[in-house]
Amino acid sequence: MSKGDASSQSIVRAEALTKVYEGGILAVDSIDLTVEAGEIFALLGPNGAGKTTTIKMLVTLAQPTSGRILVDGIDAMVAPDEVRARIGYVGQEVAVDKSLTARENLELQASLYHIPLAAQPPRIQEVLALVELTDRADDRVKTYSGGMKKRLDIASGLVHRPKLLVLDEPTLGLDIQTRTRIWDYIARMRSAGTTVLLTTHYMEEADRLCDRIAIIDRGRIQALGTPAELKSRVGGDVVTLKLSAADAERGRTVVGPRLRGLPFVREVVDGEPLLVYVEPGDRSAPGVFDAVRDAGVHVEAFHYCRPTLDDVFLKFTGRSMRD
Amino acid sequence: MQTDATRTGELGPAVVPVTTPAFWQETRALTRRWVLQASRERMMIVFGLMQPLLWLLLFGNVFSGVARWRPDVFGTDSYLAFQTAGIVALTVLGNAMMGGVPLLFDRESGMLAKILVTPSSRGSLVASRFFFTSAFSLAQSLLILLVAFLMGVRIASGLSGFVVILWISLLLSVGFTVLSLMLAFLFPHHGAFFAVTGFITQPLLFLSTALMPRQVMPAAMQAIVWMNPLTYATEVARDAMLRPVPDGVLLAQASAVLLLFDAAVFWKATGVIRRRLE
Ligand SMILES: Nc1ncnc2c1ncn2[C@@H]1O[C@H](COP(=O)(O)OP(=O)(O)OP(=O)(O)O)[C@@H](O)[C@H]1O
Ligand SMILES: [Mg+2]
Repeated sequence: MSKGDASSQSIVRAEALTKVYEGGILAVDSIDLTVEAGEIFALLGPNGAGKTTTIKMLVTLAQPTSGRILVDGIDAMVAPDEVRARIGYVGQEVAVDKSLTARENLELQASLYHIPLAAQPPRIQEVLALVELTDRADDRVKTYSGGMKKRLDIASGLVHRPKLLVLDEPTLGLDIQTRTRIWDYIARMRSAGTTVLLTTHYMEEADRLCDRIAIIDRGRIQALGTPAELKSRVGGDVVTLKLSAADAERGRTVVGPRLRGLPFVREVVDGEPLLVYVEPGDRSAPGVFDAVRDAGVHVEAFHYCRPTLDDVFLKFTGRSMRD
Repeated sequence: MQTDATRTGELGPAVVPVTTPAFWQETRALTRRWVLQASRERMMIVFGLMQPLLWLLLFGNVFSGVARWRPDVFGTDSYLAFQTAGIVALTVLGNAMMGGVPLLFDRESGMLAKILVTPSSRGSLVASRFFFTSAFSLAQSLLILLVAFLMGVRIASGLSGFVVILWISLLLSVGFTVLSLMLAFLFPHHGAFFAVTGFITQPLLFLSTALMPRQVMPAAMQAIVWMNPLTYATEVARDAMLRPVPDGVLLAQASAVLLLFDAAVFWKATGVIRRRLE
């Protein structure tokens, strides 16, 4: 509230955004967030977290049950067409007309966004070049590979030069090469001044390429910040221990309390595997190992690393995203 | 491969001005899409056009005797001449009933969502389907009349009768195309859509005068056929086919009934489609 000026510049602003589907499924539970101009913002979460539902309310494909979502200060429920004109949306599933050529698909898209016919050819050339489909522009989409279809789908979200590009799982199920290309396009869009909001459940991607991340689970935002901020909130580096099955019980009753007593241990999460957050990391890890061994418990596997977003996820939700 | 256009800065945001004839731009672009799709489905075009000819040739021969038996009831001694109007009407009806099909597939493929997130008006989607379906029906009707002509059937009332046939076909086409679009939005899966349109189309066909004159029907059925829009279109078209001077009163009444039907469907569908699309 105090930063009224800054917040009025937000490209996206969700206020207590909530969606309850028929049948009472609470898909999005009172989300508040803002996306600032020029950033790449990711919604990161596991299957069914509510990412797509949030996106659908943003792009006017679904109505919020309560709360509201604003794009460029415009309420998506009040003036949907003005919101639509500002957004380029690329859905989770590839949606292109396979009986048309890439160029024909883009021409359709351009006309639906009211780009005058005379202005269309250069725009279309531009986006075709961006997604490297110029050579195949006049071939039927039927003859394209999966990655090419996805790239065309992304291009069609760009013909009208949206202020905000919204991508729902842009790299899901794609090969590494295509994923790298898509991230390259996204980075180029951002440096051209476009704001990008995307969803993903690839943590490494979100970590490397996004400015800010909202971790979403069960319809709620569990943590929000830059990748570095989020990882620092884990509170230390992570030591993962796999104890032998026979020692599991002893691990909980004896090892846990003993580790918690050590000066460099910040937190212990009981479970399989056992997680120990330590600080400073590199010099404390051997101490953890020694303490467990001294308790007479057999360590089957030992792993030490700097925190990843998965650790962040685990910390804020109590579950691993990789399951 | 990279070109100058891909360099940073070229793809920056730009405000898109909404041109006044936006509705026509959208409608034209969508209609073009249906035309391109169809033109690349050669088999669909070929079989789509041939289907009514099959009716014409098959029924024309099988029933060729019945009209000679009661020319007073059929209005002609040629069943082929009697039936040409019916085939035109039911072809128009059949096409219109399938008018919503591409939207079903668009919804299942995500293409519909992609269209709906653009600032285009929802009406252009409906209009484009109507234009395409009507144009296809028109082409089929012309082909039916041509083949009938080659088989010796003349439009008794000449050019004016021809115009009357097109007019009444159009009125029939509007209502059922919009009905089909409405059903496409109402039913979540294409299975339900096809079941319901089939369920509607069959009785429409057999409880109309498209294949048999009403005089040979039981009294109860005669009352029912007059509640069927297909009967009105058929009767007007048949009148124009068989009589040198078409019946103006019949034309006016049938037009009024079909316009009323179209208006009712349109009114109902607008509500449904708007609710589904917002
Ligand atoms: N149309 C719908 N009707 C009813 N429930 C729905 C509908 N769409 C989604 N849901 C439910 O809402 C919840 C959130 O789904 P959503 O698609 O938003 O998740 P997501 O984060 O995008 O997941 P994923 O990573 O699998 O795409 C899930 O429990 C899902 O079953
Ligand atoms: Mg999703």
